Amino acid sequence: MAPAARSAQTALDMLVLTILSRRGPLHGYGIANAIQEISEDALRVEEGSLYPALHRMEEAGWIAAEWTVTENKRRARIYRINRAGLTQLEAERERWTNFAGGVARVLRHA
Amino acid sequence: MSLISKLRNTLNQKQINSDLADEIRDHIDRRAAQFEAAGMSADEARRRAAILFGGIASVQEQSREHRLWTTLDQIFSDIRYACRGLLRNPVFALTAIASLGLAIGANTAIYSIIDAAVLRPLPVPQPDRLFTLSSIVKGQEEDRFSYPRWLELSEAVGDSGRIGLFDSPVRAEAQTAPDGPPAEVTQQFVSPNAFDVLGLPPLVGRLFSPAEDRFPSPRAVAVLSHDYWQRGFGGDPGIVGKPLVLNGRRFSVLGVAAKGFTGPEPGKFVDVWLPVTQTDPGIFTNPNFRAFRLLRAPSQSRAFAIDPSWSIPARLASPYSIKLSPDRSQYYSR
Repeated sequence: MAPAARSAQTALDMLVLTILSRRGPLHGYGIANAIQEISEDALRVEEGSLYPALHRMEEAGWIAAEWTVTENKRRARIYRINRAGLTQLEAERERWTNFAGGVARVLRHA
Repeated sequence: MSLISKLRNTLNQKQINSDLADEIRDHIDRRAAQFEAAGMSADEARRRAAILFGGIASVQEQSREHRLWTTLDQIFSDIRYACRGLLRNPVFALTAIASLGLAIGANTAIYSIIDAAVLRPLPVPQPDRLFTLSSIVKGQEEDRFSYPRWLELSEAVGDSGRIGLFDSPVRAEAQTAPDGPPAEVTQQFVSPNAFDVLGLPPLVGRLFSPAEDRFPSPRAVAVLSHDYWQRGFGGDPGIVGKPLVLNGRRFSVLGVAAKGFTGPEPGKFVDVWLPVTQTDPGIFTNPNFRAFRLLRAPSQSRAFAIDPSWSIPARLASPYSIKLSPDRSQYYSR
């Protein structure tokens, strides 16, 4: 199935889930920096739009958040991926690979 | 899971809002610190960090939508709005509340009556075998009889049934000991065969016996309702023979009626039954003292054979005609 109109949102979800699954627990600022770094500034989104996405995934039960005190005594909200998030990431990754493969085949044979 | 956490978040909005503000502030602070470390002035760093972050209000709004049960949240704000409106216009508010109150009250009252009159049968073994007697005098139906009339009718019925006599329940002052504190109770005078007619067994002790309690040598005895036995005597198992003073007259407790029975009239809860022979002696001779309702049940010997065609001997029927109708109080309340 092709990624629907929600593909921008799905892409952001996949990005965040991937980062959390590879780098471990992070706060929102850390996730924003990681996105910037990985996409080499190709994805220039307003940093603020990351937070509604985080809270949506939190309500969906894919990630969990917890207030902690960081090394320099500041409160920070730390996000970690949980089992449902890993399952979701796997499913999305598969769907995306199938779709990309399909598009590649079409381009090759057209 | 999501709905529960959204409900919790909605009820705990202050926390959610301040958490969100803290999280946003933390992000912008960190970004500004990064820019400042790269050589920007503090003000410039903050400005750039804020631009990069984007519209804070829109982030907060979107985030709230994900984390709160927005429908519930809107209902809450509607309620708050309604309350403010009512406070601004108290006369209107009071009028509306009073109208609703009256309407609800009236409906509840009607329902209580229907409930008492229609939905609940009298808690006796065979309520459908009881009939109320009434007489037609000059076209007027009258359901009160005198004591002499009751005796005449009882005799006329013979073996085909039994007729019980019931006075109207009235309030009385009761003391459970001669010097004890007085309490209000409802008492009812009944004929000695009243419990036989109703088919009610005693729970404790005995009930009135037709053989005794005859004028002119009645016993000053009383039968308690189960409810009053519990309320006034704490369910004392040795209740039989204990004194009970009613309006200054001393009675001794003969027994307790079956649980759940509080008299044959809907909506009147009788605590104590007394033999009718204990009331004003005038009733025994005065045919104009018509105070009693009569209930008729078929005799034991003709169990299940209801005989509604039972006719009053002509001698008694004149100048009245006597009518039997299914007892209204077979429907009963509580």
